[in-house]
Amino acid sequence: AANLGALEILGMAANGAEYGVPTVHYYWIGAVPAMVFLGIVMMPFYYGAKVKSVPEYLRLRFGNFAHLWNSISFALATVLIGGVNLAALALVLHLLMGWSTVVAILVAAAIVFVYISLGGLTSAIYNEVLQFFVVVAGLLPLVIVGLHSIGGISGLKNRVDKSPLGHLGLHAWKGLGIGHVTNPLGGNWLIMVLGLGFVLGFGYWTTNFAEVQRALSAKDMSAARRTPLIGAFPKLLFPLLTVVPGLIAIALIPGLGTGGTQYNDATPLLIGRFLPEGMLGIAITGLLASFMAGVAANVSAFNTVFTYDIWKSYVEKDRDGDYYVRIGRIATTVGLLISIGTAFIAKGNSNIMNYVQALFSIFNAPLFATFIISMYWKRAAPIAGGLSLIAGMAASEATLLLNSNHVINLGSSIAATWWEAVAAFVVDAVVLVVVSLFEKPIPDDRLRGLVWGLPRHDQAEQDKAVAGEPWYRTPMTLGIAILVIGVILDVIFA
Amino acid sequence: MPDTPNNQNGRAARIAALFDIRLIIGGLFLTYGIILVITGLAGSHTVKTKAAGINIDLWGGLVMIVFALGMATWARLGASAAHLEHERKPE
Repeated sequence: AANLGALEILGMAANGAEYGVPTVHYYWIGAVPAMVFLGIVMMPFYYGAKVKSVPEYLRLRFGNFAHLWNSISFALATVLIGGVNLAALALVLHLLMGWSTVVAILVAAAIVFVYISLGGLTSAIYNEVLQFFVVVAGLLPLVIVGLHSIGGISGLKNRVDKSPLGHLGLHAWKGLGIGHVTNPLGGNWLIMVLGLGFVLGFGYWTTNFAEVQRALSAKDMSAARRTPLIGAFPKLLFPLLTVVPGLIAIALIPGLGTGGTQYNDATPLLIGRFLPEGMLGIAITGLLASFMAGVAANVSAFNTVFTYDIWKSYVEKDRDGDYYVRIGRIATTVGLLISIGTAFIAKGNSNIMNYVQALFSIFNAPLFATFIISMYWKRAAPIAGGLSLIAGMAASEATLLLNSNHVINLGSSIAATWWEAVAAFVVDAVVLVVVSLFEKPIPDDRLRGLVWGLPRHDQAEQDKAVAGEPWYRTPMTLGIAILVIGVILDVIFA
Repeated sequence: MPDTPNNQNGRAARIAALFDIRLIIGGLFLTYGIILVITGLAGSHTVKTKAAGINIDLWGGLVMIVFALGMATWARLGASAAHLEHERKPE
């Protein structure tokens, strides 16, 4: 959970340059409370339930309709996000090695192909830990040198004040009043807390089964609950490594984000400007490794969902293992080829984080709504489950189109993603509840281990109390400590 | 750990110790650190001053070496603690 993903490094710096200090909300509102929620509320449920992934949950809970729809949309989401990672990888090659973008994307795809073929995902956890340290080893000197060159914190404040961001770009909570939004973020605090903090944040962390599974491999439930909580501590500090470079970039590079440069260029341009050969190599290594892992993880997720959730479940059911391995290989190659295409779509966005958040509000927000309601409400029924996912996605997409065609005005591109997420959640929830009431309820026995309050018959054993644990190690203490630190940081940067 | 004969257990433990992530991180950063210190000392004037006048290769390299030694020490302490734990367990 303490990962520092590739999109985060580039995207949060882009956000820092476009929206300033308020970008910290993506950590202290958008991630940290959701991680605490995951540790305290969701983990006990996952620990006792028998599900290992979201598609699997939807199949057990709702049957084929919701499962097939979710599998197809999840496959689409993986190649779109894979494309963003590929575009980011190409951007680094372009800015720091001087290659043309098209060549860079193709070379990047070729490198990833080799990486996956060599089994680059087998030691994923080791890779992730190593990458984390290499990325920090590249970014931390960059932040120190950048701050030094600009005259420290006070110098940075002065320069940002005079930049296009202006005074409000230095305050996380100023200018977010409902009805008179003047903050660069362009949305009011309420939609931010609901859209970013609740729907997008909770949606990302509770349905992110890569994180959930890692936590579940812990030795007991208490350790499983602690995993996301411990991961939340570094999250509190990551803005130093991601948002601050964006601020330095907007202060030092005139016209960033307009004309010839994109907001995405913030961190790579600073690296090229400040790091000499030696340190430069380490920074590039960290970025390339992390983007490569990002593409590879998405392509491999595409492979799994295509081969097992779509092909094996609905097309060719009873073939031998070798056959599915072959299909998996083809899926990997095709997934990578599609990602090359989607990389060109991603490349057009000056700030990839705007694009990524829009994707999350289309794909994650409806899923979260259906997931969380059907987890607590046993009356949620099969057809309603599938229809709600479709309706939520359509609502998010419709909101996006209305905004981008200027029919409605939702503020900045990033604020628009909060509205899209809330629209998806509300429409999804309404469809799920209303349609369910017209359907026959699912018998309780088929919902055991899938709905809160209906444990499996053999489940009691696993839910052993955490007795005997010192108070300062309990998930609740950790959770409260994290939230308190978050609030203190919010007050300091308000 | 599954039940295995004692000697195999010891071997598994040695292999696990070799692949201790702290040692891998330490080894990587020791290598990085040494290379950076060399480029920081022997590099051109540009290398020494590009980072707003700071010789970032030299300083960064030194910090990485210290970090690597810290990781190695931690791995050692952790390993001997695990060893003691193992000894104390009745077989």
